[in-house]
Parts: sequence; C-alpha cells; structure tokens
Amino acid sequence: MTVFKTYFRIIKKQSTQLSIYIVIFLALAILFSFIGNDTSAETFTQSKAKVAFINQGQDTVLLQGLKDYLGEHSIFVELGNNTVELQDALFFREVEYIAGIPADFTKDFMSGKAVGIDKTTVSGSISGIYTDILVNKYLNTARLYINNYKGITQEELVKQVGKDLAVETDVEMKVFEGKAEDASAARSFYNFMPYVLINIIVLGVSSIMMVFNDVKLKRRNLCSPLSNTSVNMQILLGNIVFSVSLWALLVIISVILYRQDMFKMNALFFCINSLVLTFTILSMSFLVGILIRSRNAQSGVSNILSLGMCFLTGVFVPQEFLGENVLSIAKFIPTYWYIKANKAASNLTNFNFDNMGPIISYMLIELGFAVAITSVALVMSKRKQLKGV
Amino acid sequence: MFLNIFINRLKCTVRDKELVFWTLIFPLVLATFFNLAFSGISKAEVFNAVDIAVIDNEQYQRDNDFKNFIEQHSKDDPAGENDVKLFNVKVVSQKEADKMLDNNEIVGYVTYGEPLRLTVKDSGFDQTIVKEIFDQYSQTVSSVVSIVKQNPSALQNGLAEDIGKSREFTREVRIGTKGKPDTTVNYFYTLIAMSCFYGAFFGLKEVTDIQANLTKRAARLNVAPVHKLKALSAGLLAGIMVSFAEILLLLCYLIFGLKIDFGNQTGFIILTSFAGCAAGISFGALIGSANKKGEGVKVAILIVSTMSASFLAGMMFDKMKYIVQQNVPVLSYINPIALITDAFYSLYYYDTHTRFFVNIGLLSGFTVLFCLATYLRIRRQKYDSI
Amino acid sequence: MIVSVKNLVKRYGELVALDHLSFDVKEGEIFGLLGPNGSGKTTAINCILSLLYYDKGEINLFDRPMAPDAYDIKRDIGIIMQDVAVFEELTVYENIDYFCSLYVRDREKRRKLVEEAIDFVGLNDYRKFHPKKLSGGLLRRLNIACGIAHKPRLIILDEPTVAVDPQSRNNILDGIKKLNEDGATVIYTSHYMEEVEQLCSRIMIMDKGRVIAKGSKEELKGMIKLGEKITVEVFGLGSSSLSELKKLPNISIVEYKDKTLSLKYNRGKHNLTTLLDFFRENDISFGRVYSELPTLNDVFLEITGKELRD
Repeated sequence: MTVFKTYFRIIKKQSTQLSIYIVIFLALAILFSFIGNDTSAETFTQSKAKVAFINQGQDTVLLQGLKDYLGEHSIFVELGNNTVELQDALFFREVEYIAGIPADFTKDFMSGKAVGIDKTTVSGSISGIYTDILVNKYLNTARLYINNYKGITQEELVKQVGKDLAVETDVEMKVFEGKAEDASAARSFYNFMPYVLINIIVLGVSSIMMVFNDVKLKRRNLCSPLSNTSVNMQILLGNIVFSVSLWALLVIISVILYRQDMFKMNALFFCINSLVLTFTILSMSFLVGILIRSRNAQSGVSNILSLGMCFLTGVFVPQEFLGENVLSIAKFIPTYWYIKANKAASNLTNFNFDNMGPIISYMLIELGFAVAITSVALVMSKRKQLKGV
Repeated sequence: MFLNIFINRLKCTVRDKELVFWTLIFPLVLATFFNLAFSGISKAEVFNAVDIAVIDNEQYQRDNDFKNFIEQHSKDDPAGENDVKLFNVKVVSQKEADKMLDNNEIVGYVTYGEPLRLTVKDSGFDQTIVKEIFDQYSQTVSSVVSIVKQNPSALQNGLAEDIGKSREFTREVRIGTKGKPDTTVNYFYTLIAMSCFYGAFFGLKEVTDIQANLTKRAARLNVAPVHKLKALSAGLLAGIMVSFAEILLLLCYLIFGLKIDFGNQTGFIILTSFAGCAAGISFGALIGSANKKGEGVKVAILIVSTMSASFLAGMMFDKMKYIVQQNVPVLSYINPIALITDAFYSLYYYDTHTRFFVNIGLLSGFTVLFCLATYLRIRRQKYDSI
Repeated sequence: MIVSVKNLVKRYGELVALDHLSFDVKEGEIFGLLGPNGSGKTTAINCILSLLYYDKGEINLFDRPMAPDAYDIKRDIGIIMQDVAVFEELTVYENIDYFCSLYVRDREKRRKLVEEAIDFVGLNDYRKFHPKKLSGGLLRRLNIACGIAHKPRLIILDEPTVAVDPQSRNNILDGIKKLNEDGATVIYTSHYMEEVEQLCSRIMIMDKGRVIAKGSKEELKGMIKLGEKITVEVFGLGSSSLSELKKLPNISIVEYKDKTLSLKYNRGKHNLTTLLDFFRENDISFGRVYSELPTLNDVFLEITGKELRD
C-alpha cells in the first residue's frame, strides 16, 4: 500500500490550500442556507414595507382609507418632494415604496376617469412588490363601487372597501404523518454543496494525478516490481477515500448545523444524492487530472468548472429563474439532476415508490454521467500511454 | 531609463499567462455565466400554473359563479385580460384530495364554504399565490353583494364584466431620469469591481520584483544604478495600464456584448474603472510589501480578501449589499469592492452625483493610503536579511 | 583600491555572520573568497552591495563610500548571483537587454553591448528562447550575461558554478579569465577550492564569518607547515624500517596501512629523492609513488582542523 500512503502524503502537502477552500466554502454555504431561508414566502406577508406618500394634491378621505388599509403592512415615512432627497432615501432604504399621487387623483378617480399612481420601488424589495399588490387591490375594489354604485361618497366607499378587503380565506395547515416542518435550511446547504465538492475534489484529485502522471515518475513506477494495475488501483482507492471523506465531513457538518432537519427521511436522500454526485465529480476530476499538465491551469480549470456548473444548473440561482435555453444546456450537466433530486427529496412526505421514483431516476442519471466520464477518461489515458507519455 | 523599465514591465505583465487568465479571461467567463444565469430573472418571471384541487361537494356544484371563476383561471386565454393560466384544477373527493396533497401532486385544496377554506401542508410562494387569488374572489363577492344591495340593477348593467377587468393603478416611474431599476446589474458591477481587485496581482508582482528580500531578480535591480521608487513607479504604471485596458475590454464586453445597462455617463464610468484599477493595484502592492511571507500566502490573502469583499458587495447574492448597508454600514464604506460597485450603481440609478463622488472619494482615499503604506514599507533600501 | 572593507560586523540576532571582516581588492585582480557553506561569503557580498544592513564597519568601492543610492558606484558593478535571477516572461535577448538598460541608456550602444554579451556566453542560438526552455548550464550562462553586459569595472560572482556540469563550468571559468584580461576586476566566491586555486590571483579564506587567511595561493600554502605529501605502495615493511623512516629529514607524519605508506613532510627540498634512496639502501621493494603539493584544502584543514568540504 505504499502508493496509497504516498497519496495521502501528497494530499497533506496540499492541506493548507484545501482547508482554506473548505473554510471559505463552508462559510458561504452556511450563509447561503440562512439567507435562503430568509427569503421564503413566510416573510412575504410579514415584513413591513417603508412607504412614502408624495401627495401633490389635498388629503382626501379616499387616500386616508388607502393609507389605513396599507397601514397594517407598512410603515409610513415622511419625505420632501425633491429628487435628491427621494433618491437618497431610496438608496439608503429609508423608503422602499414611494407613491406619487397626482394633484387631482381623488377627483378624477371618483368620477371614473383613468388615473394612476406613480410608484418608485427599491428594486427587488419583496415588501415593495407586496405593497404594490395591495394598492392595486384597494383601488380595483373601489373602482368596482364607483362604476356600479353611482353617487357613492368617499366615506361610504372607504367603509365598503375596507369591509370587503377584510374578508379572507381560511387557511388550514394539514400535518401529515411524519412530515411537516420544512428542511429548507438543510436543503440550501446541500444545494450549495456541489460548489464545495467540485472545487476541492478537482483540486485534490488533479494534484495527485499530475504527480503520478508525471512522465519520469511514471517510468520509475513502471520499472518497479509493483504491477501497473496495483498502482492504479491504489490511486483509485486513494481518490475514493479522499472524496468520500470530504463528503462525510460535509455531512457531519450539516448534521451539526441542522440537527432538526437532518434526522428526517428527506435528509437521508440529501445524503445519498450528494454521495452519488461525489462519485460523478470524482470521475470528472479524474478526467481533468489526465488532461491538464500545469499547476497554474489547475486552479483556473477548477474555478471555471465549479462556477460554470453551479451558475448554469441552479446551484446559485434557483432553476425556476433560469431561462429555457440555459436549462436545456443544463440538462447535460450532472449538477442539474442533483438539484432536481434535492428539490424532489425536500418535498417528500411519504415514501412510496411513486414519490421516490423521480429522485431515484435523477440519481441514476448522475451515476450515468459518472460512468460516461470515467470511460472517456480511461480512453484518454490509454491513448496518452500509447503515445509513449 | 524609465521608459525601458516601463516597456519591460509591460512585456512581463502581458506575457504572464496566469495573470492574464485571472484578470481578464476569468472575469469574461464569469460575466458570461452571470448573463446566462440571470437573463431569466430580469425578464418578466414566467409563472407556472399551480396545481390545486377543489373538493367536489354539493355547495361547489351549486355555485356556478365560483365554478366559472375556477374555470377562468385554469385555462389559457390569450385574448382576455388575464391571459395567464393560474391553476391546474382537479375536482376531487375529500379523500382523494388528501392523498394528492400527501403525495405532493397538489400544493393545496379548496373547500367551498363561507368563508372558503384552503388546506395546505406547507407555506411558500405557491401557497401564498393561491390564498391571494381566493381572497380576491371572496372579497369581490363581498363587494358584489354590497353593490347589488344598493343597486340591484348593477348586475344587468355590466357589473359581472367589470369584475373581470381589474387594472393596474400604479405605474413604475423613476425619480429623476434614469432607466428602469434592475437588480441583476449589481452582479455585473461587482464583477467589474472584483476584476479591478484581481488587478492587485499586478501590484503584488511589481513589488515582488523590486524588493530584494523577495526575489533575486529584485536584488539584481537593487544593485543597479536605478532609484528603487523610479523602477517601482514604472512597474506600477505598466501594471495599471494593463489592468485598466483589461477592465475596459471587460466593460466593452458587458455593454456591447451582453447589453448590460451602465447608464450613459461614459466619462464617469471610465473614471470609476480607473479608480478601481488604481485601488486594486495599490492594494496588491501593499500586500506584496507587507512581509517576507511566501508568495503563495500572499496570493491566498489576495484571493480570500477579494472574494469575501465581493461577497459582501453582493457578487454571489445581490441583497447582501443592502443587508450590509443596513446592519453594518461601516463595512460598506471600508470595502473598496462595495465602493466600486456602488459607484457604478449610483451612476446607473441616481441623477445626483453626491453618492458617486462619496464612493470615488473614499476609493481614492484608500488608494492613497495603500500607496503611502507601501511607500513606508519599501522606502528602506537595505534589508536585515535576504 | 577597488574594494576596501574594514571591520565589517553583521549579526543575525545571536548569530554573528561577519566578525570584523577586513579586506581589500586591488584593480585588475581576481579575488577569490573561499569558504565552506555558511561561512558568510554571500552575506559579505550583500553587505558590500549595500543590500543588507550591517552593524559595524566601513565599505568603500572605488575609494568612495558605498550606499544604496550611490548610483555612480553601482554603474560600474556587475553582479552574478548564486541563484539564476532572470524574468521567465522575457526571452534571452530581452532579459539581457533589460538588465543592461538599467545601466546603459543609449539604445545603439546597448544593442552592441547585448550582442557582445550574447556572443561572450555563447547563447547565439538561443536568443529568442524563454528561460524555461533552457538547460541548467545555459541558464547559468544567461545569468552571467545579464550581469556583465554593461561592461562593469568590478564583477562580483557569487558561486556561479554551483550545480553546473563540468563542461559549462570550464566555459564559465574561461570566460571569467577573459573578462579579467579585458580589464575587469573580479570577486569570485566559491566553496570549490580547485576553481579558486585555478582562477584567482589572490584568495581569502573565510570560516564562521572570520578571515582565516589571505594572500596568493603560494603565500597561503606557505603559511602552513605541510610541504609535500608522498604516497608509496610498499610490499612488506617492518616496524624497524618504519621507525627508521620517521627519522628522515622534514618528515612529520608516517602512516602505513594496507600496503600503502603515507608520508607528510614539512617544507623542505629533495624529499622524494631522499625517500627513494632510503628504500634502495634498505632494499625495500615498492610499487607506485605519488607526490602531491598541499592544496587549499590542506591549508583550511591545518588552520581550522576540519575539511573545507563537508
């Protein structure tokens, strides 16, 4: 097992670099998983938007009604009506939604004319978007009254609309056996995991491959009484032990971080899925190790590979947000199926075959990639050997 | 002499393949990835119909309005105003609905009643949408009831049609004159900022080649009849020229290739790029002069600090910038990458230049600070040990 | 005086790297600095070049005090470091041109000098090559060319032949001789005594930061008692003959082992003849005979009590 031992001596040499990567990635992964949690829909209705009304005209009963309605979801901010102040307020997020109300808004609105409110929002602010929905809802309901209930007074209108909008659908949370709490924090950790895995395994494995593929060293190995197969098997074993220990380390960390999530059946699938992906990435790294020669190329390749795969397949940006054409490319990248499997696994509530079928088939696709890439790598390495290198 | 050193440094910089990869190729590739990944986001989000079920009971069968409402929302109606299909609805028995919910075939089911009841097992975006739409239905019903009570003839006079015609009462306007806000531009702005700071490698290289205790080449320079600072400034000038040229190339690719909106204040945009390059290079020079530690360690410090600063400026997650601004505002003022990003953003987003000049001012301040610190470190011309 | 060093002291913390070092280098000579690894040769060179702080002492080059910004002095120095110090990104020609340009501003003149330097080290076929593509010996030659292209008055070579193949080494040594003939003063450090012996007109031997001895090689050898070493293959030598041998003139140490007789003589003449006469008189049959003059190693050995090379 000398080759095997040497393998880990080489890895140890790289350990500083590898551990820097592990620490950074973990920090990012953990941050991501908490942020990912934060933007879920629960906060959608809860957070209060900071809203400013810039009224060019008079205060009216209608506008007061609108304000009262928004009041449950918003904090009102007083702002002067000049560009600099408004832009700065938006910039510093002192306000997220500015409603500019034209001078004759109430009069025109009450007489059924087409009028509008000028809004300015902080881009991407969810509470701002929600505020917009509320404003439109309020005004649409009011419009219904004005159009169909001639001569309604502002006071009456505000009262009626307020009453109507108070009506809500009852929501019942059904708890099924063994399920309910969401594993979304753990899921975003596992979603982010490919980035860590790709970087570290590619770096580690390709370092080893470069050492053992070095021409002079290879000749020396070939001259030794150790059979070539034995050397290769020991390297393979080293690769597997290295990758699987990295995977195990990450799984242990996830168990520590997300205790409540990790003791569910869903989590079991997260683990299996990431282990399958580990093997796919291992095969990829094997190929990279055969193809590249210099250490300089190494970090370039590992970065481009990891970022490319992660951006295109939904590791960083949810798959729902990716364009059609990007997704069609993504289907040829194993991490796409990994993310899909994770999503399916996190939605699992009961474990019949109907539900698990897709997850298993996604994982099989990942394995398929592993087999395909390994075969390519083997062909390449044979070809290189035949060339006398 | 100055020119000679400058030209030689230019050659050394341009021919350093690794350096060119990280400062030019890598940002270009990353920009392409960003573009592929985010192209979907800024477009109107494609809404996927939500799978729901309605419990098939007597009340449901009796209320044709509700049935109509459901049907209306479960078909594509390109001609109508609500042209998006919202639901895939199945009308099923209670038992079946429970099973479907359990198997994730639907996100929830509706039981008709007074009020409506929505059964879900999870809370999320889809569930919120479903609730919102049914809320709207109940609220409209309430309105209709009230209206009809006051004006029984309304139903005959187009009330029903009117209900379908909800309209947008708000329209997005800009405060000032700038284009539409777009969160994804921030990703590209941080990318440029990051590339500027990858320019730190140029600074590191220049200092490494001038400090006799770091390389033998530098020792050779030190015994030549050339003032060290003269050689360094020639080197840094070469570095900043290459770095700046690369950033301009990246800018061109972003603006003309990927059509990223930078606003139209070309002069200020170029100024920002230059200030960014200068800050990056001086930062690298500072790290280079910092100690006798190996080059590997310094490169690691550069990468780690650049990456974490980019992260805090929102390169991986755009809201990070605001989270930092709200919670630890100091951090966004001392993070040069956030300053560069912000300078681009204020050019794009704001009419006033106050914010822009604050950013550029701070950035230049840091550059001067880095340069000064570097100077203090390298001005000595003898060493304790080599 | 080209170089004059007086009472130079350099400490690295507790360690005294240079201990009151004093020496002069005269115009036109090849001055050899000989000493084992770690004896302070490179430290001394770096102090002379004002690269290092030193604790005490006075250094004058061309009769002017040396300082980091003494550019008129630096202009006349060429330095060849122990390690190859060239730019990976530049070709052979560009490297030489760059380092030359630090000294010579005029483009035309520089072009001529660079051509001469390339010619001198014999890198004509490699001028477009990048250093990565050069073999170890060629790299050393490039390293030398970078240091001497500007025709300095003083050339300092710090162990230029470490890890160089014998052919390149001879090439380099011949080159140094030629530079010296062309008028340059040379300071040459090495721990190879043969090189120093072959090349240098004056030699200083260092150990532990101190000067042990200096002078021409003859002078150095004159400092020690050892005059000659004679080794003889002798078959059968009785203990009586052995004690007789010890009584021969000038002899200091006699050893007999494995049919080999080693004799060390103090200075004196006709030692070999006397020995051979002794053998004939005592009817002792002998085989091969070698006579060696003392080497610098013997000088070092006698003064420090240890071998020059580890």
